[in-house]
Amino acid sequence: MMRAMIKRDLTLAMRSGGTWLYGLFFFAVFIALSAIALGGSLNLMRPFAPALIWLAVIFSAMLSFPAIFQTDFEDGNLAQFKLSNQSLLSLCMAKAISFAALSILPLILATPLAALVFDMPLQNVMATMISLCLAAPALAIYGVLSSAILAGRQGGGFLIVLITTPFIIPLLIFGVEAINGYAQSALAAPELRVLIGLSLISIAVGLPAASAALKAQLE
Amino acid sequence: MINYLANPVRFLKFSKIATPIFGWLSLAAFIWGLYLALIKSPPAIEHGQAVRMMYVHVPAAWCAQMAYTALAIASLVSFIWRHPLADSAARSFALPGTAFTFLALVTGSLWGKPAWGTWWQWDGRMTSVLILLFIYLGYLAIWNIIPERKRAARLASILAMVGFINIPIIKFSVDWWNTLHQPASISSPGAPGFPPEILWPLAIMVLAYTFLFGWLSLRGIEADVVRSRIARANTKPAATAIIETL
Repeated sequence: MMRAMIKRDLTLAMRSGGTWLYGLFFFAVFIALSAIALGGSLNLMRPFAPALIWLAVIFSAMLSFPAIFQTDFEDGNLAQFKLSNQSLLSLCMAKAISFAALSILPLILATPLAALVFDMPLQNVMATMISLCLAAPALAIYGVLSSAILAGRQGGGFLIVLITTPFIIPLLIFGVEAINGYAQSALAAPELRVLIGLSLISIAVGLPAASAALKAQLE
Repeated sequence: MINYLANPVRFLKFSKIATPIFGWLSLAAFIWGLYLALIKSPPAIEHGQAVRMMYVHVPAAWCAQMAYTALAIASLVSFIWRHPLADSAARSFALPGTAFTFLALVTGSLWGKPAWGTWWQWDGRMTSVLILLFIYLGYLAIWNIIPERKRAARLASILAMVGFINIPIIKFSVDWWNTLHQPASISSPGAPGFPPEILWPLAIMVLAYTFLFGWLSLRGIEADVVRSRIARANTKPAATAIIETL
C-alpha cells in the first residue's frame, strides 16, 4: 500500500509539468539573493555558506509543506482513503517519503552547485550534504504534520512557517554546527548523531501526531 | 476533585466562588508584593536599583512556563477524553501564557540594558523563551484559523502536545548552540543564596502572578462555556416537513 502511494505521488509529480522543480528554483533564487545582500565577496561569504544553504533548504521545504495534503484533501482523495480503512499512519509515512524524494533530495543534490558559487572547501560541502541527509527525515515528517494540521485552510502559507519553526530550530542548530564537528572528527561528530536522534524522535512523535491530525480533519 | 468539576454546571458553580477569590487574592498579593519589592527591599550591590526589575521579570517567566505545562496537560485530557471543558481550559491558558511570555521577554530586555549593557543577548534562556512565544502564537493561530470548534480543539491539542515534547529538545539544543558561541560571558543573576529581604517580595510576587494567571484562565473558561452555550442556543431546529397524503 505504501509503495503504491509513493508511486502515485511520484507519477503525479512527473506528470505535473515540473511543479516539483519550483522548490529548486526557489533554492537558487535564495542563494543568489543572499549573495547579493552580503555584498558578493567570496571571502566574506565562505564562512556563512553552510548556514545559507541550510536556510535555503529549510525555507524551500517550508514553502512546499502546504502542498503535501492540499490537493488530496480538496479533491476528496483523503476521504476515500479513510473509507478504504487503510492505516493513516502508513499514509503519512508514504507522504513523508515522497516529500523527501521530491522536495528535499533535489535540493541536497543541488548543494554542490551552491557550494561552487560560494567557493566552499570540499570538506564543508561533504559535511553540509551529510547533515542535510540526516535531517531530511525530520524535515519531511514535521512538514507532513503541519500540513495535516492545516489541510484545507486558506492562507496557510505563513502560518505553516510559524507552526513548523519550533520543530525545525533544533535541526538548524545541529545541522549548522555539524559542519564544525565534521571538520574535527568526520563522521563521528556528535552533532551528526544528534541529527540522527532528532530524526528518530520525529518518526516516533511526529508521524503518529500527523495521522491523528488527519483523522481529526476527516471526522 | 477533577471528576467533580468536569461537569460544566458544577464547574460554573465552583468558579463563581473561586474566580473572585483568585482575583482579590491576586490584587492583594500584587499590592503587598509591589510595596515590598519597589519600596522596602534594598537595592542589590551588583545591580543597584535595577534589581527591582527582577520582581516583575522572574514571576512572569515562571508563569509562562507553568501556563504551557497546564496547557499541555489540558490538551492531553481533551485529546483522550474529548472533554469540552478541557478544550476551554487549554484555550484559556494560552492567552495569559502568551502575555506572560511576552512580558518576560520585555522586562528581561529592559533589565538587560542596565545589567548587561545590551537589550538583547542570544543566550540560551532568552532564545528558548522567544521560541516558547512562537509556539504559543502557533497554537493560538490554530484556534483562530479553524472555525469548527471540535476540530480546532483536536488539532490544537495535537500541536500543543508535540510542542510540549519538543520543549526540552529545544532547550537542550539552544544551550548547546549558546555554549559554542559565547562561553559563559554572563554570570547568571540568579546566584544561590538570596537574602530574605529579596526572597520574600519575590515569593509574594510569584504568588500574585500565579493567582492572576488562575483568575484570568478561570474567567476565560467561564466566558468560553457561556459562548458555546449561546452558540448551541442559537442553532435553529432541524427543518420539519409535513407530508400530507391525499
